[in-house]
Amino acid sequence: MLQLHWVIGLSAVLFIIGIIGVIIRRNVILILMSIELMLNAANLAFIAFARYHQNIDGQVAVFFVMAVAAAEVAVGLALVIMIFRNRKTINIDDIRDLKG
Amino acid sequence: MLATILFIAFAGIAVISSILMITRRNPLVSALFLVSAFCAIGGIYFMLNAPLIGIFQVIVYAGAIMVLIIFTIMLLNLSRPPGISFRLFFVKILGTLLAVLFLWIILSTLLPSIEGLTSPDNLELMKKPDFPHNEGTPQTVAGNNIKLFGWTLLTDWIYPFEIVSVILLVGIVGAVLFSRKEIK
Amino acid sequence: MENLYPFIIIAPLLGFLVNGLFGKKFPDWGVYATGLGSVSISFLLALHAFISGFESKGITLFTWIKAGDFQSDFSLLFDPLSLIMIVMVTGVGLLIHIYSCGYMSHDPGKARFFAYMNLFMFAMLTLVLADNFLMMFIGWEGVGLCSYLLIGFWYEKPSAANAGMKAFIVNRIGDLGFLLGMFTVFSVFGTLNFMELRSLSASMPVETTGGIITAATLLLFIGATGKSAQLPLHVWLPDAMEGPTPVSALIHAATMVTAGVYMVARANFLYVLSPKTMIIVAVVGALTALFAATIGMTQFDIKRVLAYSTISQLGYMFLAVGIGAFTAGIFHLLTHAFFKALLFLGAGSVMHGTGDELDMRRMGALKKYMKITQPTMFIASLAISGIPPFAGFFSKDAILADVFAHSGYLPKLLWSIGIITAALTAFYIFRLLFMTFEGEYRGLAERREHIHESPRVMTVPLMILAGGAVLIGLMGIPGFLGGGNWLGRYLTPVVSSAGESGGKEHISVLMEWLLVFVSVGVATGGILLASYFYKTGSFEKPKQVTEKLGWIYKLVHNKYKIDELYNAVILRPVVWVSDNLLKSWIDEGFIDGAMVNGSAGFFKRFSGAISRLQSGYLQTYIVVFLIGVLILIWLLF
Repeated sequence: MLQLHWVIGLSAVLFIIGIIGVIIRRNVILILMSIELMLNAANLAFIAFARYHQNIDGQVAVFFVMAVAAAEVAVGLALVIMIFRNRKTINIDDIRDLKG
Repeated sequence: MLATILFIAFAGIAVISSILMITRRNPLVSALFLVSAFCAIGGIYFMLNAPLIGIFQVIVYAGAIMVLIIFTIMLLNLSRPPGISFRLFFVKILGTLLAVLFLWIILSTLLPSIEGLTSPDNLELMKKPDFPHNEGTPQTVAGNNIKLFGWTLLTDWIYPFEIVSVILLVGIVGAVLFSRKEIK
Repeated sequence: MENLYPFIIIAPLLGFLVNGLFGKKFPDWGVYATGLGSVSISFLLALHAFISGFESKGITLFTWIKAGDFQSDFSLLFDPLSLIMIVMVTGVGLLIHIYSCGYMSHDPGKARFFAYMNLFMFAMLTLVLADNFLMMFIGWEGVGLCSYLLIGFWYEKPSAANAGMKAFIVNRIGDLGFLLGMFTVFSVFGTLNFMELRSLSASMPVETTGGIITAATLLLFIGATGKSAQLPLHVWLPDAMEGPTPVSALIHAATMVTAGVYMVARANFLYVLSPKTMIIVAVVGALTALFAATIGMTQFDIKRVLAYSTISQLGYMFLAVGIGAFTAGIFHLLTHAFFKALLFLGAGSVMHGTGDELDMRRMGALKKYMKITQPTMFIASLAISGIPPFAGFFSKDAILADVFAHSGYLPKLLWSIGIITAALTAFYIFRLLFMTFEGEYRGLAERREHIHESPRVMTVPLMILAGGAVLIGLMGIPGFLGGGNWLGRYLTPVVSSAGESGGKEHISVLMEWLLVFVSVGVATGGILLASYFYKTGSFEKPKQVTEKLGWIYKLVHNKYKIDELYNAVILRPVVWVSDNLLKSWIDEGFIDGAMVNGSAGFFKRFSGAISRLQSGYLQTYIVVFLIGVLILIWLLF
């Protein structure tokens, strides 16, 4: 039988891996990809709970998350391209104009 | 039994792909590993009685989003930058440790407080009693997932549905606007 | 009509506001009309109240303070004492205001002048009509403020500005005494209302040794010393002559300086409970009278002589109330108002006519030119010297008789001081008169052509005041001379509980006549001496005397060097402390350094430190998010 614990545990592990990816990578695109991984981990948790509570609403939520993630990636990549055109770098350590 | 093995396989692929993704130098290699992670997750969706979502996962994430990302990587045509930088080294170590700590907290304290899931694979209609179903066909989720999903989406969740369509429109327009070359 | 009486004090206040806010834009006659109109309203109302014998325990205007058990109302008390005072204040005040229309006609700041004068009338009337100590104190402070404003009216002149400050500061010292006295009275009786105090104190025993009431009355008297320029707080009054002459006439002769005497008379029921204070009051008064008279003999500035004369006469008033003769003191206050105001206005007229000359050595033979000023001043001089039947005779004689009537050595000593001072008074005032009006003109030659009598708007008040100086005495003709002592009987309800504080004997009619002869005799002697020295107009004989007296004369001429003494002993140390300690340590070091700059610098450093958190590195932010989430989990689980 498929235990809920395992799925949630998997979701947690993937999420944390995503966080670590955001923290340690310098490439902006890589960071975006890690964020997508985090979103997927959340989706996995949604689906698991949808099955646990026998409620289809979890799956509908995942649908929306996917749609928004798609829009977000599109806009984010457009921004990355613009930054690259401006500064010829996508190293996130070099983009820190908003410092205090 | 089969379910367990399948799950372990998919889970393993997902985890290993992710770890490899965040540690490779070449962004293209990372992207490909991410694709494989997505597909593995999609497989798990199928096992969790969400076939429609699983299809969506493969089509949208692995198929569209990752393609976009790979396009962008190739467009920017970067020389190979070093992968893990050592600036802010202290912050990154601290962050990693804290993330691991976070994981440990979740797994050790949050997880045991959830009861286990032992329901059979053929689930009932997932609590939608007014769902119009055909006479005579067994009303299980397995057979009716898409129908149930569509019904719920367009009745209970109609507002978010419309709003998401606007979001997508905005995304398209925004992306086009951003990446225009300046007209001199 | 009763409802209109509050306008006695409100009308001048309105006059102040109108002239103060808009006066600069008015034409001259507008300023005069506002200034005179408000005081006229007060005078007419006061006169009406007096004639109709209006009595009221308290017309409450509004409740000022209400805190717990303590309540202080702004209410007016109309009784014989306050009625006669307000008639005098508004009447003499009105005449002086009329005079000022002429005197200040060339001054560009006349709107300001009339505004301040009206404000002063408001404050003085508040002081007189107050029914409790607190409201009286408001008026007390108000007249002090107006005194400062008016003395320093020509503020561009440094000596005037300094004199104004000096007056205010010395007054302040006295006011501290007044405040402490008020607090003490309140702590003993629980009320500051005069009527209530009167009934409460009637049941208290007389304190023959020192006690709390002695302390309270003594502190109040210190306030009176400052306001009425007695020793040792008299130093501001001579310098106050820097102000325009109508100011000197109104404030420093007729009204403000008499506030101290009025206060003691008003609180007579407290003072009779404390014989020790009363002795001190009487002694201070007598000594001041003598002291000021001696200085007055040696001064050459016409206004200074009159200033010292005021101090001396106020000393007489305090001698009177100190010995228990409250009625006599008030009587002298009223007569003094007339002849001193007349003397000052006359001096102003002289100054106006000689091109603002102040030094009597450069005057002389003005009798020819000033046909109205000279006779009026002559009448005033007779009055102040105590020559019958002019006003001053009756009041001064009443005081001296009452002093003499007390048993013991001290009253007799005080009486002799009073008699000597009377002689000196006659001397110095006729010295002034002769030096100014008789002999030959000693001034600058080119001024001689311009000497003129003052316009009618100035001389008519002089004549009215002269009439008053003659007639006012009639109110208090004592019994043995055949009169009915109307004033004494009139004021009896106010001062009845005072009675005679211990030891007053009854003196025979023969004795009274004898005293009259002595006082008139010494006064006449003083006049003759003055004429011997000064009538001719040459200064030969006086010079011989001053040379023979040598250092004594120098000391007296320099006002016994009291100003220099205060300067060295009090002012220099205080200024030194302010400059070196207070300024550098507290003002610059603590307030500027620690509080202002320190707090600003602290915030600057603090925000600098915090802003460094905003490093700009995305990953730092992510880590901070993580830390936040962990803390949240820790707190929730």
